[in-house]
Amino acid sequence: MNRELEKQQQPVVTVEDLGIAYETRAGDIHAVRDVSFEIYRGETLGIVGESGCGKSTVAFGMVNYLGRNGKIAKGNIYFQGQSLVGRTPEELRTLRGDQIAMVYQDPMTSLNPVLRIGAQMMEVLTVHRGVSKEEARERCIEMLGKVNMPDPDRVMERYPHQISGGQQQRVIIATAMLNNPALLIMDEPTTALDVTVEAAVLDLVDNLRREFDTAIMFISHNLGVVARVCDRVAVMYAGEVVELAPVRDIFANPQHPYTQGLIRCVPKIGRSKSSSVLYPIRGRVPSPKNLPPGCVFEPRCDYAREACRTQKITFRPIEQNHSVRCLFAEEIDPAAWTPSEDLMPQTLQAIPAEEREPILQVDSLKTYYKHASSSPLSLIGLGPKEYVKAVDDVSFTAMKSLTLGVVGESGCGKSTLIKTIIGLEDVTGGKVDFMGFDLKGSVNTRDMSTIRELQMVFQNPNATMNPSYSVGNQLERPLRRFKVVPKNQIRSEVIRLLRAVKLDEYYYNRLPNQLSGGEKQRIGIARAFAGRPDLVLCDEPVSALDVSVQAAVLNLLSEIQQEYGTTMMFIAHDLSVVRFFSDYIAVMYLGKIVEIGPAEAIYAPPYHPYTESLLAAVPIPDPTIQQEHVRLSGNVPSPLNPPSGCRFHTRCPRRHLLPNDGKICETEEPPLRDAGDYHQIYCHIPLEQLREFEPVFEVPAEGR
Amino acid sequence: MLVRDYMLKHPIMIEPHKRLPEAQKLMVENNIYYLPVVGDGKRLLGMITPPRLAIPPERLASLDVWEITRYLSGLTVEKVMLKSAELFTIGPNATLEEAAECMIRNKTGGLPVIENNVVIGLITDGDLLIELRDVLGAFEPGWRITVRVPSSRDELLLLTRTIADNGWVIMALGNVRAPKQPDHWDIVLKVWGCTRDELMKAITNLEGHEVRDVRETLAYSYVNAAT
Amino acid sequence: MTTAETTAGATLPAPAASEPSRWKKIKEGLSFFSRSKVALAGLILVGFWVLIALFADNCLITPRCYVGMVQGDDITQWATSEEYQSWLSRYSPVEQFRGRNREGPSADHWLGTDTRGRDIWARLAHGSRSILTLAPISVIVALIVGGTLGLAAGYFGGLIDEVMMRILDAIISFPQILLYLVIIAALGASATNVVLAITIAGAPGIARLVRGLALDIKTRDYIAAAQTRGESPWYIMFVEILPNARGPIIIDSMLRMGYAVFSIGTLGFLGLGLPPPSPDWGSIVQAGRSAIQAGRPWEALWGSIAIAMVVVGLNLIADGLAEESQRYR
Repeated sequence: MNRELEKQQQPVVTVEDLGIAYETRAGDIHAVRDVSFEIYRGETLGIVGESGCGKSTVAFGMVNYLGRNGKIAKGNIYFQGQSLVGRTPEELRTLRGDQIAMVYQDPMTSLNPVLRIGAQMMEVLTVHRGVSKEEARERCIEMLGKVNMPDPDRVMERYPHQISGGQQQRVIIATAMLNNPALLIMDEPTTALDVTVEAAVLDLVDNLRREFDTAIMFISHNLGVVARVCDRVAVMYAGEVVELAPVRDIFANPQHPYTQGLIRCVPKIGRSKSSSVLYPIRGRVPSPKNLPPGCVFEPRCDYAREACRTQKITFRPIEQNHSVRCLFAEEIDPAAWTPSEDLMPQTLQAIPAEEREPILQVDSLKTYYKHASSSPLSLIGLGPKEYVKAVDDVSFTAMKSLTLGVVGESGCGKSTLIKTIIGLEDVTGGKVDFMGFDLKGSVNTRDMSTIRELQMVFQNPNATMNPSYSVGNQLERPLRRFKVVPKNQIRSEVIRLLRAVKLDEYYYNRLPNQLSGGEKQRIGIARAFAGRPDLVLCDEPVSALDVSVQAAVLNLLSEIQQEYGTTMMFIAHDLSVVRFFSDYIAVMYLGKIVEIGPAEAIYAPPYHPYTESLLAAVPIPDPTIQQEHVRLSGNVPSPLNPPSGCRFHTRCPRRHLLPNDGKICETEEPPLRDAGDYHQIYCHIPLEQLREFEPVFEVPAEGR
Repeated sequence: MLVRDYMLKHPIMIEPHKRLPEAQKLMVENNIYYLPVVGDGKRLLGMITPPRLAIPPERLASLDVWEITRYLSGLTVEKVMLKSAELFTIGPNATLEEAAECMIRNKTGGLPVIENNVVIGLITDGDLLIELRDVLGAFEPGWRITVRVPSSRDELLLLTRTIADNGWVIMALGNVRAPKQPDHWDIVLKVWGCTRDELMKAITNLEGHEVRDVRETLAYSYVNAAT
Repeated sequence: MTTAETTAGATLPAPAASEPSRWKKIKEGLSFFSRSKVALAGLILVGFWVLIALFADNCLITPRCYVGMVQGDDITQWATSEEYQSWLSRYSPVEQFRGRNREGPSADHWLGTDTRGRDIWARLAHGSRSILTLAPISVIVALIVGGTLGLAAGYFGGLIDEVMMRILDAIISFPQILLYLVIIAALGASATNVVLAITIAGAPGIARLVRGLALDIKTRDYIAAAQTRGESPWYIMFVEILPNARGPIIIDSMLRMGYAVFSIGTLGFLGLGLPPPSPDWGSIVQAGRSAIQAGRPWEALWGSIAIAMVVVGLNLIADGLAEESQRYR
């Protein structure tokens, strides 16, 4: 009982029994049903759930932005005591402009590319409020300062494409806050951003909420992000809120089987696949056209009983502030949960260090892209040649049958690295030695046996399969091409592959558009493994998937790797996933490896300062873990003109540890510091000092 | 202690063209007494207070039911609100005392907080009472002691030093000129970390300090009293 | 293997959509027209002329009368021979009714007669044949040429793209009608040359479209997957890229078909179409043009309406297709 609580008594928004339907030829589709919650002043309500569960639909419903065929079918939304349902568009528009603001995932959808940022921001004040230009400008600069925008004066003069994605998102948030809205709806505001930028934006959201007492509705699929910024969390599943509770309760004491399942399928930071298992939720989210008659989660629930199948479940409070949509919430003890037979963890045999043999040796590999300079001479091909040094002087060794993870922010060259190895990009310099073959030149120049040994799993499940051909057709092609099996056995081999990725035989004739994202990704994996390659390069294979599917795909990958003894290179931007999956990890920054070593060594001191800040930025889906607060300033410099000396020196938070404030970092390339056991750090700071860093977080004890 | 930090941010507001019953409903349902009326861009136009909702009988031609309905249906917020010209407002950087003074002098209980001609909050007598309660440490556990001291420069210092020397903690403090005794001050303290006897002993030792009242409060005693 | 397949297929709860039968596919295709009113209107307009073209006379049985097969004076002889029978056209297109020239519509001659006393309806009905065969043929040829160039330019990029596109740009920069005139004037008026002219004028546009699509599609992961399998560029272009570009290409060729009809009409009007006695729509309008001021607009009017019907109809179908493809995007 304190002052804040007393002032909060009236919620800013109350949503009651909200139902949203889309009209289609086949009749109304009820995308959101029976959703109720309220948000108070200065509170952040997180809405989590997998894709297609209606999170964004709720957000759009609140501002009645449902498109031509969407409508609020049921229930009511009260904003500041007034109902928003049944308002004329005119009224809603004034309300939205003044009191409700929205921030979307992609900042470019809200910024006009042909107007200067200053003009776009000032418009908010000058058009509706009649504020004078000078004053509006002053207020905009002040607000940009509040969102920690470096150099606000000059940013006002720039065009949206001239600033980075993180800065664009800050501009959007600043514009939204100019009107001092009572409610801010954020729809996946950090999903498109890198972890370090994401961490900064999340800090910002938290500060703004405190300062302006704004009610925030924060939509995200990322449990870690939600754990960091939210006060309360609503878990949505198939268009219904299944659990609503304070953030600590959601993570420490989840009551709904779906929430429990979600938390179980996210890799814990610092856990590896040899010490922990991910438990995917079986089945998939039902489509709103075809919902089960009883509990929506019943078909996937381990605790389902007869009663769950027949009746609609009501959303009921089980404790103060904790409501759940489950008949038997009190009886379910998450600690007593045991995985069903097919999910039992298989024991992974670790390969002892002395038996590890190198399969891929990369020696000062360079991949440069030619970049047309802005000089007019380059129009006729005479301009000075400029190169984007996407991968610059990278050396490492990958061990047979083990996984090498590569992490780094976008633009650090990790994708280019594996594309160069597989031959989709040309090698500019250096040497790649693969089982004694020298890999150089593009894939066209390699012979079939080398091509067969190197395969790739791609990121985007929607682009990984050719939409024009059936699954069987696409799996047959590599079999024919690599002559893996005799012609008459191709079909049975395809079916064997399908079974290996846990898909049934009838998928043979399916077209890609009939498959879910996870299924497409499984086919992509089957296709990569069809030629029984020795090295599989995975380019963010799970980052576009929902967490429950992600867990299944990760399990599948490690199972197949175990079975074939395949070596893998695994790129991901999610550090928990990389840690979980990899035996060795390389951290890249601006085309260079800054740290490489065994996975467990990377996640504990000694750290490279960059690794440290990456780890400090990871959103951890556990509000009880305290993370050290290290934030990077500035942007990733352009790879066209990388900083001299240590490339990280422009942003390094640890530079001051060196004499003369790290003058040496600007001039000299950092030396290699060997911490033993193939753990190498490229930094000017001596190893002893690096060892003294506080761990970024306490890794919880191993075990479930 | 500025208005900025203690006002209610994002108060419920209404637009001038809304019909009066809607405003009434809003006030009743949300249990509020001051409803700022704002135009485009949250510019203050006026305010509705409960007396404005009453229908002045002289405005009606007759007390016929139809006449009343007709009159009501034509009534908008704009027509009955206190116009901004007759309204008292305050800036976010004013002190709480200034807000209180403004309310007392103008016999009002709620002031819209205005910055750049835009309503950014609302401060009411209720907010001030909450502050009074919290300044006096209502929810802090400990001994609430009222001491009357002569009006001299170092009496407060003496008192606080005594408490500090004993290693006790002052959770809250209020200091006001004693009623009807202009040469004395009443000091209200919330002291934590001692027993009643220790406290009484320490204070009665001080010359001229008269303990007017001592009572113990627990963290939850007010919550219980309220329910 | 086949037995295992069938039994497995029977036991597994394979969804119905897994293997659509041929009939179902056709039905789906037809249901598109019932969904899109615009496309249905287009189909009726074009279908009308397709029917007329097929059943104008008994050529379906005695296929001697296709474009260019009977020429010169033979045509008069042949049209009055025993072998020839008019069905929907009622009369032969070359039969001249003495003393009945330039008449308005009547019960005998539905649309009237032309300067030489020939039945306009019969001439339009037979004219539809040449136009409805030449237009698709020329578009298909243009598609093959333009599509291949566009695919290669888009997929290989670099110098090949640069050179190819500059050449095609140069062709586009000529006014189309001028191109037709130059080509036909140089090579002479014949069905083959009309096709050739339309191909040369139309291929650059198609190449640009296909290049754009190829540029987009080649960035997809499945193309990279094919490359990492070591597939040849031609396999990737025609098997991996082309099928995924079919939607826009089909819509575009529908529109192009309309333009082709238009162009053939224009060529006929300029006297560069099929040689005179054959009933060409463009030349019908041309012949009727001089009679408009004399108060007998029938010949020019009916000819223009026929051309307009087919062009509008094809455009409507293209519109319907475009609308439908956007709906499912």
